[in-house]
Amino acid sequence: MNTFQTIVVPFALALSLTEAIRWLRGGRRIGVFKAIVWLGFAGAVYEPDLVQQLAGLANIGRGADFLLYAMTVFVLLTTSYFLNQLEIHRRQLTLLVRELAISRPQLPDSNK
Amino acid sequence: MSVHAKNVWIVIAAFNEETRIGKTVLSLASYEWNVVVIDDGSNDQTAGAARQAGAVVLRHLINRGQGAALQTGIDFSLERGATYIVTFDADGQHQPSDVPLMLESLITSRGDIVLGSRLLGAAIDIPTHRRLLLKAAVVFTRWTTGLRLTDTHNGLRAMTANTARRIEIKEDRMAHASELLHCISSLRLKYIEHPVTVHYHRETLAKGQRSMEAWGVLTRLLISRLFT
Repeated sequence: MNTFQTIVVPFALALSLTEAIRWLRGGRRIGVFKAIVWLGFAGAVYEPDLVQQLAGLANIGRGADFLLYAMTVFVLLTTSYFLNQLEIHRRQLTLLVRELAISRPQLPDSNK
Repeated sequence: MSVHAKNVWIVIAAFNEETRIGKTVLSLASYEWNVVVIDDGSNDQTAGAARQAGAVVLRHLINRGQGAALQTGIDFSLERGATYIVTFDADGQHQPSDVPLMLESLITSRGDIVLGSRLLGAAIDIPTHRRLLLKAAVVFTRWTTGLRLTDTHNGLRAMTANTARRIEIKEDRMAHASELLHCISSLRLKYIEHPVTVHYHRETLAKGQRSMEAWGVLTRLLISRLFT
């Protein structure tokens, strides 16, 4: 392994392992996804030909193109995930604001 | 008309309307309806002006949009035993005298909801581009919901309590008007359009919806369909 690989591969593997352990201890499902991403990253750095082989399997040709396509899909998926989360939080915030408003009505000045 | 004024709740969403909300609430006073103003996180004295004019005020601590504010007012009105709920704009564009006629229409037709139509009634001093936009919205709504309406985004509506319980506005901002029409279509509610008068003036045009916001509404509807 070269210096870059010596530094990055153990770091990525450690992150993958951490995410996997967190998930096994009852963490959120997204942990599995993160563990797989870090593991794939470690694999690609350790063995660059792996990406080339995957590109060949997918009939894409070059490893660099395969990474580009994979990144595009990744960005689309994460954008969709975050938009969904944003919608959930928006609704929760509105419900909270509504509950507070209804629980504290302000009567007309003439009724005081 | 057989409706008792105390069973009618007028719901007004207001954001930074301290100069107009008092006048709007006072214009409704002679009818003795219940008036609830939802101060949607205003930075000015909207809440105080509405209270002074005789309205119950619910205050959103932060701005959540007109759709969210209307749903807050509707929930509150239902909790207080409303039989009929009317949504009314804060800026004085609507005429209180239209409300009894809409309620009468709701009762005599045994409908679920009455929608105000400024194109059946009168849209005084409406800018040409706004009129064109409203017509485009009519075509779009007919295409997406099948509803044959003449005015799709009028804030003056009257509905029964049962209808209000069935409709849940999830769109916090301006897209709520389109969402409401989709609810009417999907729940197969009986709707009636009623001619109303809407007065446009410089102040309301400056603060109100801009034509470009139509794109924002379309985007919101798309996002809510895809991600919720």
